[in-house]
This record gives sequence, C-alpha cells and structure tokens, in this order.
Amino acid sequence: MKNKFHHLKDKHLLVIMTIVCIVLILGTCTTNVVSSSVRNVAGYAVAPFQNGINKVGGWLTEQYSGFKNVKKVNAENASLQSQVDALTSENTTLMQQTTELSRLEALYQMDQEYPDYPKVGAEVIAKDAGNWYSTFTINKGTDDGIAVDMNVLGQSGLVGIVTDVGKSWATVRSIIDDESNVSAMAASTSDTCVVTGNLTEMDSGKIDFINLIDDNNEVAEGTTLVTSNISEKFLPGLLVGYVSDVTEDSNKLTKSGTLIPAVDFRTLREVLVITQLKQTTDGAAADSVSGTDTTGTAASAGAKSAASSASSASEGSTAN
Amino acid sequence: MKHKLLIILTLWICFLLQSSVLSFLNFFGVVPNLLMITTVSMGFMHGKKEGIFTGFVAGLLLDISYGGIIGIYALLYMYIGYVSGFFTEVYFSNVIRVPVCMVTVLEFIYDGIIFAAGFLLRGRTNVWGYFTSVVFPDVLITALFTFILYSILYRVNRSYIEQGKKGRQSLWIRD
Repeated sequence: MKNKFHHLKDKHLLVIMTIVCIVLILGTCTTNVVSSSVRNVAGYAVAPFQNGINKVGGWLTEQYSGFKNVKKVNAENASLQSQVDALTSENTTLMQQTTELSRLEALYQMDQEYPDYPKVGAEVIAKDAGNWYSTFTINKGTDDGIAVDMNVLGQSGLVGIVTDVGKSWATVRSIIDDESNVSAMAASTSDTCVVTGNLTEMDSGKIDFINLIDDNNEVAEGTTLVTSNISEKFLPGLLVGYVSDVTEDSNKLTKSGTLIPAVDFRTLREVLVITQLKQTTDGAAADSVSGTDTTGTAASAGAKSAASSASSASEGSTAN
Repeated sequence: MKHKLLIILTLWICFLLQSSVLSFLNFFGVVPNLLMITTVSMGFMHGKKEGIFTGFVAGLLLDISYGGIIGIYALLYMYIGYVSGFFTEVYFSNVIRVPVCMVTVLEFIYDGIIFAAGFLLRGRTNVWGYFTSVVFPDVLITALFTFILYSILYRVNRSYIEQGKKGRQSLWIRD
C-alpha cells in the first residue's frame, strides 16, 4: 500500500480517493449494504469505548463541578462553623442562665419563708481544697455588712455560719463540718437536740444529732428539725433537716440519730446571709461563751443535757 | 504502514474524545474539532498524501457516527487534508502559528460549507445567527485546541517527520 502511494502522484491519489468517496456516497444512497455493514463494524470499534470514556468523562465532569463547588462550600462551611460556635456559646450561656434562674428562684422562695430577717445574697466563690465541702468562701464581706457568726442559708435551709470575714469575702463553715454543732429542736414538739457534723457520715449525705430529749417518743423519721430558740448563735426557726433515724441512747434519757440536711451542699452555689446576729440580743452572756461555740461541745453535752432542757447554762455550753 | 496505523489510532482517540469527554465539558457550547486539527496537522507535517489519508479516515469516522450518507465527510476532510499538504513547503519544525492559522481558516471554510450545504439549502437564511452561535465559537475553540493538540502530534510524529522530509526531498527531486 505504501509503495503504491509512493508511486502515485498526489493529484492522482486525490482523484482516486474522490472516486472512492463518490462510490461510497452513491452506494449509501442506493442500497443499504454499505451503510449497514460499515456501521456494524463501527458499533464494535467505537461504541464500547465511547461508553467507557463517557463514564470517565462524566466522572471528570463531576469532579470538576465538585471542585468548583469546594470553594463555595468552604466559605459556607466557615460561616456555618462560626455560626455554630456562636450558637453553642449562646446556648451554653442560656443553659447557665436557666439553671441560675431556677436556683435563684429557690433562693427567693426561701427568702420569703424567712421574711423577718434582713438578708444579703452571696455567691459561693471557693470551697476548701479538701473533698469535704465543709467550709467555703462567699463573695460578700464587711462591705456588705457581714460579720462573724452570721447565719447562712441556702436552697431551703440552714447552710452554716460565718467564721471569718474580710472586706469582700467571708468564710462559712457549713453544718456538715465535723466541728459544727447546732442547737436544734423538733419543729412540732420543740424537743431540743444538738446537730453535729460527722465526717464519716458525710458520704451518705447525713449528719448526726445527739442529746435529743424526747420523752413522748414523738420524734420519728421525717420529723423536721429547725434551729432552736435556745441556740446561742443560730437564729430560731431555721430549717436544718429531716430526721432519718432515731435510736435511744444507753442512758435511757436521750436519743440520738441521723438527719438529712435540707441543703445539698455539693451543688450549693448561692447563699443568703442573715445580717442579724443572735448574740447582739443576748449581750454579755453570749459574748462570754462565744469562745467555745465551734469546738467539741458535744462531748460535754451528754452529761448535762438530761437535767435541764432549757436552762440558760445549757444554752451557753451546747449551742451552735 | 506503521505510521498509517498511528494516524488511525490518533484519529480514533480524537474521535472518541470529541464525541464523549469534550462534549461533556462543553466549552462555549461547542466541541473542538480535533479531527480537523489532526487532519490539518498531518497534512502540514507530512504532505498531501498523508493529508488525504488522514482526512479520508477522519471523515469516514464522522460519516459512520453521524449517520446519513457515508462518504460526504470523507470527501470533505480528504480535500482539507490535501489542501493542508500544500503548506508542507513552509513547514518549520515547531512553529505553531502556521498550523493554527491553517486550522482557523480551514475550519471556517469547513463550517461554511456545512452550513451552506446542510442548512442554507434547506432555507435557513439566518446566516448571522448560525455563525455567531456555532461557527465562530467552533472556530475559536478549535484554534485554541490546536495549540495543545499540534504540539502533542508533533512530538508523537517527530521521528516520522524526519523520515518524511528525506522522502519528500527525494520525491521532490523525482518530480
């Protein structure tokens, strides 16, 4: 074929090929033989490849348009991400505000329960470094009229007492502290006892009470305990907790047991400080015994409590 | 013979690309006429005979795929390849301006013939409309693709070009 080409002149080749073309044209016009046979061959030689390439091409087109979209999507993604961040922080803030609101509502309700006393709201800003949560720091101090020995309320009951105060802070020892002793009484019968913190009971969420004088066996599970009117430092009538169980002491005169405090000390966030001191009304007598208020009065309490339930002497030694 | 097979393969690949991938990519709504570029390039690089052969095969492929009368496109492309062969004498290795200009002009003529034969004779007298919507974009995009395809074809055919030059010279002397 090559040799034939070389021997032909260009013009001659052109003429020959033109004739071939014209024959082809005439062939297709007059009969179906040429076109159908040629197309059958083409169907095998071309169509499958076109199919494959089309798939590749389609894929490429997809990639291309996908690539074009990436930029748009990226920009969109960035703006959406910032929106998500903003909404997340907003949501967190709102959730915090909601829980804060419910806490403050509870606090407000308690404020209504004890309307007689002037109070100052405060936030717990620090707790002692141990696991005990028995003392904590609040963000109000002498500037807000807080002084040592003021009672602190939280949630729905008594939290503790101010033990130390600074210009804008105060330390509160809670009633679950092992050193804490609170003179309490049963709200219904006015039977007095001493509520004392107990480190070993702290995990179960309970605290002890001792020296309960309950001759009529009226104190039982669920009895409400409030601060007693003979207490030296605690204002009367503040809710302490509910009796969990009662047992008679070996001396057959007093009873002791455990109670569940009205306050959940682990979640305590806001407190109310009653800015009225009990001892100011008691004057000199209270002052003389204040030194013994916080430490182990419980040990001596058992001996004397049986004799006189409400004398001024016992108040001095057992209170807080 | 080997070179003929290479040309057929090239045309076949160009045809497949043109009928599938490139029509998907859709530049300005038209498909670059790779068969035209190949035909013109081969005629330009190798001479009239190669142009005739390339054009004939390219046209035949189009005839087969487009349907209608077989031989029309073969005839058209064959003459295009033949005309391209005249420019072999101004062939300088890889100067790309000449084939681009040739492709531009021949594609324009080719489109003009197709329009005249296939549309104008059917009474489509909106000449300007057809030219702006089809012919001009087609010529433009085909010319642009010439830059790519010609350099590829040049590289593929380099060894054959050197051979062809000698052959041409001897042929020229013989003539």
